[in-house]
Amino acid sequence: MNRVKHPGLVARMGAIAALFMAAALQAATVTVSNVTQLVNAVNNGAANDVINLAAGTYVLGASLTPKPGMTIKGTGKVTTILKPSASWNPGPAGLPEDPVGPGSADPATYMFSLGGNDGIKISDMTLDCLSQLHGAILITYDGKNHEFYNLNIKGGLSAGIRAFYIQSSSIHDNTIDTVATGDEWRACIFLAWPYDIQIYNNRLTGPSMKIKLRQDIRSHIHHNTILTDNFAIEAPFDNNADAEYDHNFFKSPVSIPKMGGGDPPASGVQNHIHHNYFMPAYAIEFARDGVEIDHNLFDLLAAGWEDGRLISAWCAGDGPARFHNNLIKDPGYGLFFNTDAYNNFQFYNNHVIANPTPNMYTDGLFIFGEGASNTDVIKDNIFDCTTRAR
Amino acid sequence: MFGGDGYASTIENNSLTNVSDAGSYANPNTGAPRGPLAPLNFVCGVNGEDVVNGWTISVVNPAAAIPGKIEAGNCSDMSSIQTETTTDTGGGRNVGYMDTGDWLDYSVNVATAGTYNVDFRVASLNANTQLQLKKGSTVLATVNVPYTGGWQNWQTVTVKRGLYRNSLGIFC
Repeated sequence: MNRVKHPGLVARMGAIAALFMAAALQAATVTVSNVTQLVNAVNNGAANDVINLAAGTYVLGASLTPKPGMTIKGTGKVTTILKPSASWNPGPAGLPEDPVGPGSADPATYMFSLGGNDGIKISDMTLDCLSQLHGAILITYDGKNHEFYNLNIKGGLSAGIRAFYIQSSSIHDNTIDTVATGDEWRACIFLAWPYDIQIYNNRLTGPSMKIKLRQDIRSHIHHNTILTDNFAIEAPFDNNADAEYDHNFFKSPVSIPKMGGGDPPASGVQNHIHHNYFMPAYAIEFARDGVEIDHNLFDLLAAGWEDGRLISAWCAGDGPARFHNNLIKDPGYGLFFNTDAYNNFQFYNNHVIANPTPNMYTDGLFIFGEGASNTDVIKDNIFDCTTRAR
Repeated sequence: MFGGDGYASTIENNSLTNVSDAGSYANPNTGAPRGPLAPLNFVCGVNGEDVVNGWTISVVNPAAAIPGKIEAGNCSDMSSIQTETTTDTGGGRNVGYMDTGDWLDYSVNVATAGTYNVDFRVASLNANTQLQLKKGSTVLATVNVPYTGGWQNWQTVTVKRGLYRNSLGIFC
């Protein structure tokens, strides 16, 4: 009865509540043109705000931490530039020597430190770390639905983009060039425990590793141009699952070693590597179980990587690894090398042209380690060894 | 073909040309097709700029075509350069605020290697300044930038250089 007696009151209260909800969700769009306005917009803005940066150079004195859902957008890589002030110079002190946990990265040394906030977009600007900061963007724990694109990231001492437990995010259309050197814990894109990450249309250069992944779950790395003398991709930890690397240009190796890397997932595939162009003679660092490598062109010309075998391993594995429908030109030392036994290796429907190269070996294209079983298969291939027998 | 314990493997139906140990295993002919089962054609790299067609790879990158015109602001990378609205013919934005040591990188795609004229549209209130056109660390040309009477008073200066595929840099 009461609901029938006072229908108008109920309706008005509902309308007021809806207005309050709309006000709480409404995001502001602001344009900033100097660093003071930028810092104020980020620090005092609300979740989901859109902050447009006018063309210009913004000299930051400390790390920025955007609110969840914020969009921070410049006018382009050439026209909007963020860099640290001379006094914000943590330098190499505190650079991580071990990437295991989120505590290994200091948020105060990154231009953007996102913490665990979700849904942040950063785009259309240059983030120049000037060899002072450890990196440009840091996600310390469990952020998701991020998008970082059309950025020119350079000068990071440790990483361009570094993240722990990042999920369902994309990194695309960027140029990233770190100055990081010295050990294996530096990379243009360094993701520990990533889930469902898209990395595409990025041009990665500089001396460090380009993409480093710890336990790669369903990442899709495609259409990148990776020009470096260090590893193009390194995913050396256990239990990758359904990771796909395709349509990339690789000047340097892809490394997926780990004593077999644990049990393959339900799909049977830890890593699927297909339709890439590879230049290094030392192309795939192995051994991992549950791998498919197919439809690649291995045109093994890269200076600095002419020594080595296309697949090189120093550990045992149970397979399977399916290597098929690839074109392979001028393998350096050979095609497959392992110091230990690797089982269920299937090499089929490939075409190999082995011209003489300065450092070629003639002691076998395939060198299987001691105890290799009869489960390995080499069939339906074409081997053309010109001039010198292999 | 083999070292180590490889002879325990199943080896069959391979085409073996100039393989030193071909007589050490049976390699029976099964009649199955050999080599890739279909032609290998795909694009790769950023925006599919590289085309794999069988054993060859070619570039169809979005780099500026030469001969052609490159807007100064359309560089692939730069150091300490800013842009501003230009009053030169055609409008758009010019690059400016250049100091000694600043630079811009451009990706170019030269259709045919050869000697080309390179025209620079420049404006300066300073005399006796220079630009360098470089490929990697090699200086292809040094360009003298004259006093033009204003930061928006534009003149054309020309150099003649051999150009090749890939990237060019302009250093201040």
